[in-house]
Amino acid sequence: MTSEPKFHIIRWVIFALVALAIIIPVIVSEKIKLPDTSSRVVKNIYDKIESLPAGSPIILSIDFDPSSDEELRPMTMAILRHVFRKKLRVIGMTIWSPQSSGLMGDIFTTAAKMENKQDGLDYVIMPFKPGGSSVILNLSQDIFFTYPKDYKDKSTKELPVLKGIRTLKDMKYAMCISAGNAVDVWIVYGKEKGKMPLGAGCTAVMATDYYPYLQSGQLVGLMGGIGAAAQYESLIGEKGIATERMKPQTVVHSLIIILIVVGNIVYFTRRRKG
Amino acid sequence: MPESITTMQIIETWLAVGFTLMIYTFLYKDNPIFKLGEYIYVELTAGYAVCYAWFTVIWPDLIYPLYRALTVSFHIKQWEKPLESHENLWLIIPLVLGILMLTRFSSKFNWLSRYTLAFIMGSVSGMSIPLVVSANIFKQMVPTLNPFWGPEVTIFQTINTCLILVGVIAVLIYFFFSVEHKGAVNKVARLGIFYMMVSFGAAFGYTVMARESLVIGRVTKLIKWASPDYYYATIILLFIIIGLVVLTELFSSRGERTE
Amino acid sequence: MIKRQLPLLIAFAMGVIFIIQFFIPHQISQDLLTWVNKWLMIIGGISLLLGIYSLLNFHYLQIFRNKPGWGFSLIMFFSFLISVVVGFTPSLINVILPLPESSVQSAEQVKEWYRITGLKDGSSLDWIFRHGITPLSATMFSIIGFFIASAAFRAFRARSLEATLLLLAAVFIMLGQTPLGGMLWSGIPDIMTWILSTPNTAAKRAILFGIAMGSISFSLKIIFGIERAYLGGKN
Repeated sequence: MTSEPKFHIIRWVIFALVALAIIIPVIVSEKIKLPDTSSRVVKNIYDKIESLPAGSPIILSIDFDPSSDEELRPMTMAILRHVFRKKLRVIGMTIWSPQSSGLMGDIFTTAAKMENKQDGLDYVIMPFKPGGSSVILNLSQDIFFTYPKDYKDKSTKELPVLKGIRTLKDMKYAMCISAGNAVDVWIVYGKEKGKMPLGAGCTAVMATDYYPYLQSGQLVGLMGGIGAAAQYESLIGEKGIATERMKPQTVVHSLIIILIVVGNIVYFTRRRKG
Repeated sequence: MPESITTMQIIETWLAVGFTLMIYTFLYKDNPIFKLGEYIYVELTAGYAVCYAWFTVIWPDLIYPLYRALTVSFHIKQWEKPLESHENLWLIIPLVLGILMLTRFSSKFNWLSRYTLAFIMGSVSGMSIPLVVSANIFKQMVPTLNPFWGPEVTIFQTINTCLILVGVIAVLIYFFFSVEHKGAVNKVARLGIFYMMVSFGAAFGYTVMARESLVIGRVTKLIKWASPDYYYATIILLFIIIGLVVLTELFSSRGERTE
Repeated sequence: MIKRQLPLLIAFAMGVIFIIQFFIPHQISQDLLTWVNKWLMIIGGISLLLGIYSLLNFHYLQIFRNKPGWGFSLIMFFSFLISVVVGFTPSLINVILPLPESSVQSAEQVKEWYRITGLKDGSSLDWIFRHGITPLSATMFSIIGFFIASAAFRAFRARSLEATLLLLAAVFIMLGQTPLGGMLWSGIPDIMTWILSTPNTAAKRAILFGIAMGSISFSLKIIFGIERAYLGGKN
């Protein structure tokens, strides 16, 4: 057998194994029980939100699009449900892309329905504006100038949820949930100008990049990927999608470790044979 | 007990399953079915972006406020609502700059777009310098040496701080190519490489979690949509799409044989 | 002069103004920052159209010159038109046919039907986003998950000390993120935390310093006119 078809077959076998590693745990999900995990960096975000009094205004910057929806939606839902239960006033915004606005509307509506919250009274969603750092710098000056109208074309000055708020400095907490470098933009522009506590949620790919900011205190806490979302769900006592997905996640991680080990065994065996 | 599923929801599900499976045909190899899905995605997104640019920026932040400001300033029209702070004649400046930007389409006048680009690049560069120095340099220097000593600092924390300090210096020396990496410099640079390998390994471990969670999300939905509630959408469309891929393979191989 | 020198002068002036602006707390300085950022947001919105024009122009040429794959370019144009027509039609109808004022109730009903922005939840454009763009986008990026597994088998070899360190770190992180790590040995999550908070932090911080200094020097080069690539063109 020539090496090229053999290479394709090995690849397809691996793809099939990955698919099975996901399908089987999903089908037998109810029979699998995994212990809860926790980490200090996720708990810091939970503790910060818990410490805020009712009525405190916070900003939630949803900076991801459908390509990262599967990974970041569970985290966003968990955070939103927590802040809604704490009766905090939530300003939803995005600096990522037009697609983030559509997602944000859907997530907020779903969470608001679950926690019985009203648009305009308990939360407001702002439309996407391009410019990234420019949007954040303008927020640090005047929220109403940056967003004269909300996502539903209502004048922001007339919304009860924004009463007594003018700039980023009036925010008691900000959190950026991002699939790209929006967290970096929030740290450099938002945190420096607004001086409010800042938390971050990100895809697991980006998580390792933000540990220097955690250590320096520029970030209160960090949620990286679906694992952090599962931890947060257990903290708020609402085990949902993220917790369920940790079951196939665990199996797939085990599969990949096995593939790495087997690949190395094959490599060293061949090397020894010369 | 799940809510009853409407006909529209079933159509939407079949559409989502179809698109998902079209993209997954790439796992076999690049093929026309995958390309079709890819191109539909790119252009739907582009059209969506155009609508968004108009409805959230160009119309509400430029055209409409400027129109109101012009009609009030030149007494052309009376408005019920008074002008707000963002509605004034200064908006002519971004209008002109935006039009100049669009001259990039013209081979004769595209030099005019340089004014807008210079405005943007100069402003953004100027705004970013002090903030980057503060956030990414000054605020990162102190924790490199902290916590080192104190009544509440444990020996483990002191060791960790020393390791971080050594690591930061070692990695910075690795990237300093103005000095030849020989002797002691080479040894320190190699230590920097070890630190980076551990960091990249951690990044790889996290990347696995990130990418696999995306697959798990899609496959979980495909399993849900294979149920009788959705008329076995996944299963039926899987066979149809495999059939289409096989047909395209047969046609393309027949075409190659003819050539 | 006006084609090259004047833009460089504008870049210099804006750069210096905003470096100085950071240190001036006066209201005029803050208003300047606010207004210029607003203008940048507006110009950003107009610039979105540039990128899309360039994409459409490429595909137009593919069709016009009958190049291989022109059929796909035609499909792309069709998809683009669907999005744009669906997005703009409600607003155009609202402009062409004014809302009837005979009764408040009917005006509200008509307004609801026409949906002025065409972007709200439940609008046609939103439908395209949820049931077209979302599944396509989500699936496109999920493919990498399969290829990572394939790469793990074929490419990740402990050929040297550095590669071994990389693999060990990856294995500890993969185990530590899931409950499996804790179940195998209680020390795995602690090792994972230490890897992330010590060697990883050190390496990333050094890289962060490098990137920060690089971006500052690049910004200064733009302000002083040394970096001119963004202007483009020969003259």
